[in-house]
Amino acid sequence: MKNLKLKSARAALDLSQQDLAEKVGVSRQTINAIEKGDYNPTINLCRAICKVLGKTLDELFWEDE
Amino acid sequence: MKQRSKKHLYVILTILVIAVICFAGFLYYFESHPDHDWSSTIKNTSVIEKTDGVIKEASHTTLRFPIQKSGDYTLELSWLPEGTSKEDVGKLTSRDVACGTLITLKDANGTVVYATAVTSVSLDTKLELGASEYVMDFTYFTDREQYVELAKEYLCGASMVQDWADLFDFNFGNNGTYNMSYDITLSPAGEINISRTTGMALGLLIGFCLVFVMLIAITKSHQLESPKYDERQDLERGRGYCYAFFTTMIFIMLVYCLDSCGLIAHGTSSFLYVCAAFLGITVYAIYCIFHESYFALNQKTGTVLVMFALIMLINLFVSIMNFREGELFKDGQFTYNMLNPLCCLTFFALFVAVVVKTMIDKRGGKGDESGDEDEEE
Repeated sequence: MKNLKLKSARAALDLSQQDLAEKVGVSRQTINAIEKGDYNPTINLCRAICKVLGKTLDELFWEDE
Repeated sequence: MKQRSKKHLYVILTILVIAVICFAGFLYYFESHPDHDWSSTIKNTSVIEKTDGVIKEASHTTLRFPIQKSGDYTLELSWLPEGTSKEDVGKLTSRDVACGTLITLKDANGTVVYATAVTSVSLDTKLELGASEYVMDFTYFTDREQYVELAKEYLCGASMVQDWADLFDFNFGNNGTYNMSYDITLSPAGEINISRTTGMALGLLIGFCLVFVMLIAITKSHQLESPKYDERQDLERGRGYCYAFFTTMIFIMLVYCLDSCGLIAHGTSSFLYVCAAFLGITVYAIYCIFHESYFALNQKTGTVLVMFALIMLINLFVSIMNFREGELFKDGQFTYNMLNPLCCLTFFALFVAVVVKTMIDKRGGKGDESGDEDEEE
C-alpha cells in the first residue's frame, strides 16, 4: 500500500527523495520503495524518517481506518 | 590509528615475503634433489617403409628406461600416425598405418613385463617394476600368421591367440612410407609435475594475497570508508545470496549427474564446476543490480563501471591471445586458460546489467516534483 502521508510530509518540507534519503542515511530507492509501499521499513528507520520530517510514527506510518 | 594500520600492513607484508622465500627454497630443494635422474619421457618419430608387404624401419626403435627404485609406475604410451593426436585414436583404422605393432617392455633379464599389439594407441597403465634397465621394443606384423606367432610368445596363452586374432583388423595400408610418432613416459605412479603445479598454486596464492593487501593498504591509507548499505539493500543482498546459492547448487548437481552418466567428458565437467562459481556470482550481482542493492551508499557507480569494463577488456584480450595459440582446449579438455573467457563473460554480463538498469531508470523516471507519479531517476 502506498504511503501517501510520507510523500506529502516530505513535499511539505520541499524535500526530494534524494534529500530525505541523505538526511536519513539510506538510498533514494529505499525512500521510493517505502512511498510506493514496496518495502516495510524497520522501526529504527521509521523513527529516523519521523525525526527528519518532524512527525510522529502514527502520523506517517499508521494505517488509515 | 594510521600508525597502527601501517604497522599491520608491514607485518602482513613481512609474513608474505617470508612465506614466498620459504616456498621458493622448498621448490629449489625439491627440484635439485629429484628421486629419479633418468629421462622419463622419450618422444620421436619412426619412419616405416612398406614394400610388397615387407616392413622396414628406417631407424630401429629401441628405448631404454633405467629404473633405480622398485615401485609402482605409470606408463603413458602413444603410438600414432604423424599429424594425428590422442583425440583421433577412435577414428583411426588399420588402413591408416603400414602394419600392426607389438610393443613390449622387458627388463634386463629379457622378461616381458608389458606387451600390447596395436595399430595405433594412446593409453596409460600402471606397472609394478623392480630396479632394472627396461627396454621398450617395437616389432611389426602385417598379417594374421605373424600376429599369431608374436601373440603366442608375448601376449597370451595358445588357446586364446586365435580369439584375439579374430578381433584384430589386418587390413593395413598400402605400400609406402609411414611416419609414426611415439611419446612414451615412464614415471613413478602418483608423481606430478611438482614445479609447474606448485608454481601455479603459488602464483595464484601470491596474486590473491597481493590484491588483498593492496586493497587494505589503499583503504587504510586513504581512510576510505567501508561500503555501507541500508537495511533494504541488506535484505535484497540476502535474497541475492540465496538465489545465487541455489543456482550454483542446482548447476553443480546437474553437472554431477551428467558426469556420472558419462554424458559429458570428465575434463569438461571440471571446467563446468568452475563455471558454477561464476554463474553464482553473476546471478547474485545481476539480482542486486536490478534491485538497487549492488552499489553501496558511498560508492560511485561510474568508477565501478569503468573497473568492470577494464577487467572485461583485459580478459578479452588475453582470451583472444590464448585462443589464437590454441591454449584454451588441449587433449580434449579445457585448460586453466578458460578462466579468462569466463571472467570476461561475467564482467560483460555485469556491465550490460548496469547499463540496462540505468537506461530503465532514466526511461521510467520523472522529476521529484511530479506529484503523484512514481519517482525514479
